Amino acid sequence: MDLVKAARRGQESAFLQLFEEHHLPLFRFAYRLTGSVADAEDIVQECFLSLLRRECSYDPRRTPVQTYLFGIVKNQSLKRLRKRNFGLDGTPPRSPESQLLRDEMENAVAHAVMELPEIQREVLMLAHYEQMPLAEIAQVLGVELGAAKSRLQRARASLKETLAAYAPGMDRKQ
Amino acid sequence: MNDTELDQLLNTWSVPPVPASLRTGVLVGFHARPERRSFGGLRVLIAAVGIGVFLLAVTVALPQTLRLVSPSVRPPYTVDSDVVRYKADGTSSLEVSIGSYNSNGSEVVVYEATPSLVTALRLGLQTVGWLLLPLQVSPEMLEKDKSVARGSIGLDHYRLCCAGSGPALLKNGCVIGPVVGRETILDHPTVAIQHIDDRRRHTLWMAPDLGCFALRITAEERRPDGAFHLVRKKQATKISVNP
Repeated sequence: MDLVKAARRGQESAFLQLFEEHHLPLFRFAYRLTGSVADAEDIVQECFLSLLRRECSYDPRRTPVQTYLFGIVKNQSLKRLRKRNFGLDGTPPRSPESQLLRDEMENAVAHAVMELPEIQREVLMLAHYEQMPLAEIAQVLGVELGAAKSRLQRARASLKETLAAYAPGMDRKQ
Repeated sequence: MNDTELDQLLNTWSVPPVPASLRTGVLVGFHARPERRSFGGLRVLIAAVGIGVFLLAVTVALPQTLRLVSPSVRPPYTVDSDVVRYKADGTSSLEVSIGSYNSNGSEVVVYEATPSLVTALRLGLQTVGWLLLPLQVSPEMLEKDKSVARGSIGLDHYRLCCAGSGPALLKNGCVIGPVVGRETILDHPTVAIQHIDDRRRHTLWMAPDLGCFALRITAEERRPDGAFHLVRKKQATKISVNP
């Protein structure tokens, strides 16, 4: 039986199964879009609960549930981002000396990605971090396949330029 | 930097672990949601019965506004017409809208709607009237309707004219008076006949292929100076074949 339908009928087990299957990639996506653990948590929670609402537009005949959920997370994340300036409040602690180098690089990558234009950033996150096929990305974002592809290419080209200093074999500039 | 090197760099951006509170929060939300009611079908049924009762009440309460004939006697066509009243000051107003057809030279009114109800009822009745209230008018009531029409081409309803009996009309190809013109109205050829008395002049454009249904009727009153002044006009606006 359709898990969403069962969850809407009150079956907790179906709802939990949905949650277990999808919450990790959704949380990663939300975190990388917002840079905030608290925001990502709120967004993913709201995303699952929205499935239960009567006005929910999810239609299993048109969209796989994962695609639908990613679409919700994307919209919610960007809505929050626009309300505030980006800040990585959930980046890992940086105390141990051995972690300093990696932390610096991680920070640089995070900021480089976050500085990408919104339409490039979301494609890159879904393609690279979630390994989502371009066709599905296009569906999540509601754009043509060609548009998704070119956005990804532009995002990667831009990052190569921004992060050139961190390329293996290069001396890092501060 | 090549693609592999970029991928390696991007992979350094890790994500903190999912807070345990996420699962808890989602579960709390799941149990806190409003209970879904499982009797949606029953509500639809109640709503349908309610609409039916409402329409029945309207039909009974406003018999002059809403009259329907049984679908068991579906007419071959219906004509929607507007009756407009013209005042001496030159202004005009819609008096009533009618849906009707001719049966043996007599007009049978399917519906009448006064201006306040015209828009809603015309659309509603045209589309669902035949379907929704099949039990509202018995064959006896229909016969009564026909007797009221009594060969008047429906004109008695609107005090426009009294052109003669239906059978006489049909027998004479709709010509029961002086022919003053011929015109095609809504793709149907009509013959215009005129009746004049001391006070009024009536002109009827009747379509032979619609059982002498009058697609246009004008009623004019004679002024003291002898000129005629248009006081009412019935004009067909739409013809539906096999409605």
